[in-house]
Amino acid sequence: MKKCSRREFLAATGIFAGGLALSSLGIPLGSVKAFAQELTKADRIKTAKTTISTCYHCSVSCGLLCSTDTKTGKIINIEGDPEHPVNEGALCAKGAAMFQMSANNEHRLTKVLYRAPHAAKWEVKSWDWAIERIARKIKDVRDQDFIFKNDKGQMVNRLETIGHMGSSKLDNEECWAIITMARALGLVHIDHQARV
Amino acid sequence: MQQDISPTEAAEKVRQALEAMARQTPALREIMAAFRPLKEGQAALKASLPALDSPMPGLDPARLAQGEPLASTGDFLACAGLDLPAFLERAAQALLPALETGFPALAADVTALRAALEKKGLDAASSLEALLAGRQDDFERRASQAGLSPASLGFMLLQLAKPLLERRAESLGLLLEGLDWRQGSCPVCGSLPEMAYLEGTGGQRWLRCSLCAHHWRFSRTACPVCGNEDQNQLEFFYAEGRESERVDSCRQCRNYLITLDARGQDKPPVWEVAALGLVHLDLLAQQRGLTPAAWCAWNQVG
Repeated sequence: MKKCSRREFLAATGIFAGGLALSSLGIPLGSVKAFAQELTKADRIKTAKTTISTCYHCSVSCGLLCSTDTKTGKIINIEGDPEHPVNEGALCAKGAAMFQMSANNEHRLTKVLYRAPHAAKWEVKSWDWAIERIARKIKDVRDQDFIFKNDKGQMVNRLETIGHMGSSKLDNEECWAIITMARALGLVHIDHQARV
Repeated sequence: MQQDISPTEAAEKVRQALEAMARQTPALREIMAAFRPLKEGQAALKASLPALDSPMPGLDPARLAQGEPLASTGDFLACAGLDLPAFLERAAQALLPALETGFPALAADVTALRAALEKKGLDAASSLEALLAGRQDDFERRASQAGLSPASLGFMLLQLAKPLLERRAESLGLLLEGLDWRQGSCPVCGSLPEMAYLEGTGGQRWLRCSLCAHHWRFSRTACPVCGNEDQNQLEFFYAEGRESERVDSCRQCRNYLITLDARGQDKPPVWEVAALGLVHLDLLAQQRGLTPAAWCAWNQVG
């Protein structure tokens, strides 16, 4: 951006810089001063800064404006960047919900929860427990259902009883690692939430 | 560009907006009441003017790309079918009583101006030209001859001329449609903005000129005064519970701009008076040692 260039009109407004305060016009300012003081005393005045960022959901890479409280360092708002050439301020449903994925969402899960078959309650489990159980289930199902050949006797090496649904919360590199694993297991039912 | 409405409708629109803002923020009631006669009168006077669309200045995209605004003082004041002295006389008749009513401390100066105009001791049109063209020595001499301070005469003359400048800018602004303008100063007249607002689903930032009331789009992440784009030097503050109102400021130039987030509002704001609803933020910003992007009739609260 160039340094702002102006012509003579600035002089017209500049003349007032030393001149007519509202009080000198005879307007009482007691109420507005009291209101401003009340806002300050109640610690309601918050200061923030805006950072330009990029949505991580998909390769479209929409531009974002992320506002952060300068005192707490917490994100207070995320919205589309109207100056960004890709999205011009618009966001899809996932991008628009990005603020809810920040630390501000008190409902965001921070621990592994497990509900046993037919149980009504969720139990807190460790990551080790969960990963071990998922691996065990995958191994058992694969060992049981793996198809080496089809009806015509042709080699297919596939597994039709496990599907994989990718998440739009994943980035490109994570998706690549996951699909490599899914193909290695022989999965054919592979889809992505961003498509559906 | 606003749709043409009758003078009565224009004044009524301003009156309703001021009443609504006073209800929303009772602490601003006295400021709304003070500005009401002037703002209603200006709106009515502006609505009474025909379209001021001739002659139009030549458009030079290369100069605009360099940040040069479209129009000069002459382009604003020399319009076909407009008798500037006659207009200013009419404006004085309509608006000087409003200044007396709303601003009691200005009453003596209003009387002095009225007397100077009646006795031909002041050429209002030439004084306005000197004011807008920045011929400060010339303007100060004219003010002195009329027995007024330059600040007081400048304030009053500009209030008389605002309806004309804004009406003319409506036509001038049409020339700029579709052209790229990335400056923080007005593409029509070159003045700095009185306020900003966010609008549209994309949250675009628009600026409103402090002199001719033209609206133009500007970056959300740059200072309109000095062009600074350093994200660590640009801040904004707001009051909890009033998140649609905020002050954007720049640590580099120490200027600020009040901003209204107009997204999701039931009714579009009435821009002629919208900034009056944010005077409490002007006060807080100036208490922080910040200077407004443009000094206006209502924002010198310190």
